[in-house]
Amino acid sequence: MKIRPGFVSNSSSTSFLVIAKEEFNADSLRRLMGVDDTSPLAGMFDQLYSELVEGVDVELDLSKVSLKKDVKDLSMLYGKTLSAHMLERLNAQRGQKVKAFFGYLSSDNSPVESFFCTDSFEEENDQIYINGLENAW
Amino acid sequence: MILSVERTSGDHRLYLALPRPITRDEFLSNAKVKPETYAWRMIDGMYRHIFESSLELKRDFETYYRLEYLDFFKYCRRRLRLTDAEAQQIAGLYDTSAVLIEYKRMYYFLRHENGLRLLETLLSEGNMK
Repeated sequence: MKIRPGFVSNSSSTSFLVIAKEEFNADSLRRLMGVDDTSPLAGMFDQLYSELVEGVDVELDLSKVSLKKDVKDLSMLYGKTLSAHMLERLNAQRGQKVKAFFGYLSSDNSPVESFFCTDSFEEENDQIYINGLENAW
Repeated sequence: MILSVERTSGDHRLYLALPRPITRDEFLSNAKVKPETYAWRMIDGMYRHIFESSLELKRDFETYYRLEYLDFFKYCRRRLRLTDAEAQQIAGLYDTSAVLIEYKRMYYFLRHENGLRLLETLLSEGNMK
């Protein structure tokens, strides 16, 4: 028998969606989040990038998604449920030359992933949109 | 100096000793984040949590507890429930620190080594004891 002192809590997870016009990489994520290359936070956001890449379940080329087909159908096809807001964003950019990635972050992994998993964020610039507002599944 | 205190109950606190208070602008400047972005809001929130919402120990002791505990070591030992060694470490910084802060419920990543290094940098290397 094992005895664990202290609090016992459930783990959390959260859905995320990234829509990128250009290549989505650590540099573009840092720019989006407002982190200078020489910032002491750079390593943390580089790790967030790695965790996002690791957490991607589905990658979509929205230029190849039929204009007749509702994106909601696609998400069901992949067995994922995105939030209504995320689906609206995907629908709005259907047919455009952008890529979308979605998956989830978990609080069971690194301290950095745990932090972002339990935070809510939605950021956008002219190249990238990221949504980590809620757990939608 | 940052003293990290963790108990098996899950209670985790940081004690920060600064020779002078750091301003919000300095803290954000050390972070090298672009104004009004996610990272800026995150660091701004951290600053407010540390310097506006956390307990400043010297003020707390002098205002409310000097009569009860007589000296700062006893206040640390009995009021904050620090061990002898922890209380001695914090009490030893009383005279040379302008600010002694007990920081609880910190961002999760600050519980770990990389997070503590980040906090040290934000508080500025030259500013830390």
